[in-house]
Amino acid sequence: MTDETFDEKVKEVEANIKAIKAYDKILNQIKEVDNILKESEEK
Amino acid sequence: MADNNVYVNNTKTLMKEIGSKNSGKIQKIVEDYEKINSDWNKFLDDQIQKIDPSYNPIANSKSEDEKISDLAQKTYYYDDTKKQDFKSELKKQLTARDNGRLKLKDIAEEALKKQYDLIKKNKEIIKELSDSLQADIEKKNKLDAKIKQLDEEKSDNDNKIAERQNLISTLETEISKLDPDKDKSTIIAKRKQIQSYRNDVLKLSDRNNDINRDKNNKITEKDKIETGDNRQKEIDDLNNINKDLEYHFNENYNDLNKQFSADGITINHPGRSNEAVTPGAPQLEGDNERENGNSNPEAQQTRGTSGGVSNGQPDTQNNQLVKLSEKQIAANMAREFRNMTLNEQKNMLNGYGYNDLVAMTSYLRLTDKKRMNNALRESIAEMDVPKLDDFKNKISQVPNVNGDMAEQWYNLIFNENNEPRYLKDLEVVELRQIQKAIDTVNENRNEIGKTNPELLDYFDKNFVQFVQKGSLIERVKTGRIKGFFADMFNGKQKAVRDKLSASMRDYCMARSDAKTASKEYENDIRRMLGKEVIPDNERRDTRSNTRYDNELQKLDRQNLSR
Repeated sequence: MTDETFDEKVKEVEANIKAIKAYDKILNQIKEVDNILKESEEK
Repeated sequence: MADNNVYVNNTKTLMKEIGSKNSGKIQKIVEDYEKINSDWNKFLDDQIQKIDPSYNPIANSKSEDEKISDLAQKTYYYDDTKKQDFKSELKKQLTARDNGRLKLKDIAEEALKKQYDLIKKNKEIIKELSDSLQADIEKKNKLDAKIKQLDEEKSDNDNKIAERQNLISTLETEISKLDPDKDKSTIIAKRKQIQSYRNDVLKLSDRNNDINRDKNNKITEKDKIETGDNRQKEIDDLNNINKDLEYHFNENYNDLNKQFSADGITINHPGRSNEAVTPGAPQLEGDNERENGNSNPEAQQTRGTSGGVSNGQPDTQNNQLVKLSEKQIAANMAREFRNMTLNEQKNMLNGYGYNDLVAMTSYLRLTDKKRMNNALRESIAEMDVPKLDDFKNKISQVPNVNGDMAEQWYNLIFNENNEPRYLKDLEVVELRQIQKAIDTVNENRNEIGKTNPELLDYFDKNFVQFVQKGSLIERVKTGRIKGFFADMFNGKQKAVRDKLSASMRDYCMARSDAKTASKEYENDIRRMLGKEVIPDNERRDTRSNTRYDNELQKLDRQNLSR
């Protein structure tokens, strides 16, 4: 595999990693609001 | 370079779409959730204000549990129409709330699916990089081995050429020392040998030329293979990060599924049918083949069964408890009473139902009856005597009772010094009036409960409790044989005594039924909400131990009775 192809594929993986972390923000937010709702129910 | 920008731009666009609390998808999630929350609380507050117009949700903030208890206990139990209306409204609200949560579930599932696909894609790319690097390294190694082999062959050939040339040189020296006429045949033989060596040298030199050409080709081929200086390290780093993300993905999935399953909602795993995942353990490509590993019982819970206690009573199959007869309960209570301190006895007298205590007295010894008498007198002495004005004001709200009648009721129970009266001092006509007072409230229980449930509690605390304890004093003082109000021997007195006993029993049963039905109603609502139901022994801190024996206690009793 040429250096150029290798670098391109590495960049693709790195971009995917960033995207996975970005989706994590959504999931964390869902967990957070759900917890807030539950805490308010238990007050 | 242009391609690299595409990746970065796409990620940036994605992150912008996802946003934060103040923008993008996340802002929408927070807003949706706040709306669900606020709609739900407003619904509960509105309902409470319907039954208690003075309730101020801002000044008297209550938890959801407190609100539900208020709604279940205060009014609706007594009013079937309002009860059904409330349940129907509650169902609508729950549907709306569930729909909101289902939207969140969809967003969560979409994000999980994207993560799942990206992690899977990364694995494929990393595997491709790794396989390609391994193949290239292997190819290079093979070329190196071939070059080394060629070098060795050439070196071997060079040695052979030098050896041949030495031999040629030796032969030529020897020929120069021979006589060309006398040694002609020897010289011819040696020259033939020299020629043979020269032919060998030529062949070996030709082979060396081929080797050099072959070697140069191999070197060129090898140089074309790019394996980089740090490729393996880069691949390992990416692989480790992707594995961490995969672990985190599984953790996230389990957390979310656990959170939502409490509301009866299951988050679908993007890679397989619903099942909890042990973080990091199952790999993405093996997900579908995974046999049952760790099933999460919480994930199996659905709305309506989350409490695990269906009717508040122990499960006889699980804990081997045996329900006792009323007589056995009474005998157990008497046994417990015997071993209690005075304070514990007072707590028992305040906490147990009237009929239970009456039944218990039959199993008390004379000395225990004396102790019960003392405990009852102390208990009465500790009770707060209501103020006449307050009593009149409250009791005159009972249907068909005016202020004068309320004052008359007060004077039946308390003397001119505002102290409780002993029932033995009451006239027959007064006992009859007490019986009628109890009947009046009991007959109007539902009517009062619809509009003024606190009035029932007030009457119970400030009238019935005094009658109840007073009658128990008479019972333990006179004993089972003579019976309640044993001083009254003639037929009229006996009739009043019987009627009052019956009224007390009816009143206590209606009160107990009301509490049971109210609890069932509250539990119905709690089931609708997916909340844990409240078992019997949390409400009545009294009878759970005496109502059931375990198998061992049962056998003990059987042995003792033989």
